[in-house]
Amino acid sequence: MTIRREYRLPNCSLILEGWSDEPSYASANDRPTLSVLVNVECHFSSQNESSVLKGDRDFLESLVRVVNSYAQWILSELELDQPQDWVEESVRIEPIPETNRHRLQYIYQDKSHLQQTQQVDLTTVELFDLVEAIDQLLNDGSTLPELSLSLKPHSRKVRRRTESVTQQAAPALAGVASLAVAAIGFSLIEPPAIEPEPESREEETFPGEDPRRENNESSQ
Amino acid sequence: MGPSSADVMNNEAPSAKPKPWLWENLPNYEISARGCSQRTAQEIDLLLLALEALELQSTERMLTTAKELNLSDVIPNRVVLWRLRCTNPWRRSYMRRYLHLEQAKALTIIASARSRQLTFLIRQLVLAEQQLRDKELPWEQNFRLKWYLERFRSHFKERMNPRRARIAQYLELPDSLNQLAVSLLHKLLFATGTLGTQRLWCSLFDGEVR
Repeated sequence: MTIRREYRLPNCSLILEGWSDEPSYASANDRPTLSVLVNVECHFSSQNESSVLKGDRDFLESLVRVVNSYAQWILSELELDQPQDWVEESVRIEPIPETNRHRLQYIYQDKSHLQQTQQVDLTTVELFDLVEAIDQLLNDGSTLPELSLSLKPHSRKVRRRTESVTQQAAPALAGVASLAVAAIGFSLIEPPAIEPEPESREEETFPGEDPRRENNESSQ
Repeated sequence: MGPSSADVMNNEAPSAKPKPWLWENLPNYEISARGCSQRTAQEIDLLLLALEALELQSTERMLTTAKELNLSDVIPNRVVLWRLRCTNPWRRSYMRRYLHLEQAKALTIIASARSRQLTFLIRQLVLAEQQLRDKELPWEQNFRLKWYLERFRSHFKERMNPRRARIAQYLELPDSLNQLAVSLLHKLLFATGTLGTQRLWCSLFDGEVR
């Protein structure tokens, strides 16, 4: 018996069809487990019928991996040292600059084995609904129970420095430059003339004595 | 570092009731022994700032949520909440303290729970922003979005340290501050989902773990 599971959100619906490989008596009372996936469809309500993404289990697994990773990027805004490698994936997603939209692409081979690319541009709310449909699927223990959410933060080793080397060196360079300017400025100031010290002092003063008074007395 | 007054106050009211399911199920990532990174603390505080801009009496609501979720032993009152938020290095009253993993966890669970309560409003604002952007109309055209952005800018100006270069840059360019407010709104939207708290928690440590 074919089992159909739908995860419906206002802008996105994820529909899975397949069957259970459990004996029918095992799930007579419970909801049967969809364990063999035959077909997946991803509908977006704002798009036309031609933009429905259809595929098999590989498509679903790729969609889950790529959308998870992209949602993590939206939340963390982490710039990676090496860009994410989507070569092995049949699904790709990237931001469309200046628009707050996201381009979802599905690359597949048609019946004549020609590579085709299907493309859907999503708003952030549509993307969120897709993420939520996937999360509801992952949270549903009776549909492909072996699929689970795999979240792992990137190590700090792969984080791209947000400041370039020149920006990082700017404070040090500013310090060296101001020191150089100060040095040039000081070199322009004429050094004070050094007066030769008198050879011998005729008068010695002792503590408690005012030399000026002595001079006045001698002149009187 | 010696125990802070926040830590001392944490021990005042130990909660006997069980913590929410998420408390045990959000992973304890490998971070520095001192505590969470400055970026993690900054991001959590900014998300809470966005929530404050979304609704009136937000701090009281956060404390009520902490009580409902049995997190009062970590965040018992307004003063502790304020002290934890002051681990954000962008703040005027930055205390050069580190946010502990448990404190970060409690704040993240509260932020997600609050955003879930505000799901309808957050969706509405994100949709309105997209529509105005598509039509190349100013954000002020939508009253509710304008209210949120004005409140966010005002809170930001009041609490962040203008002597920091990044803050000075934001204050000089109100549009960049609006962009920050909208980007936080997107993050809160993703936090409202079925696995939103787990996604938000993971993102706070993205590029920060060993």
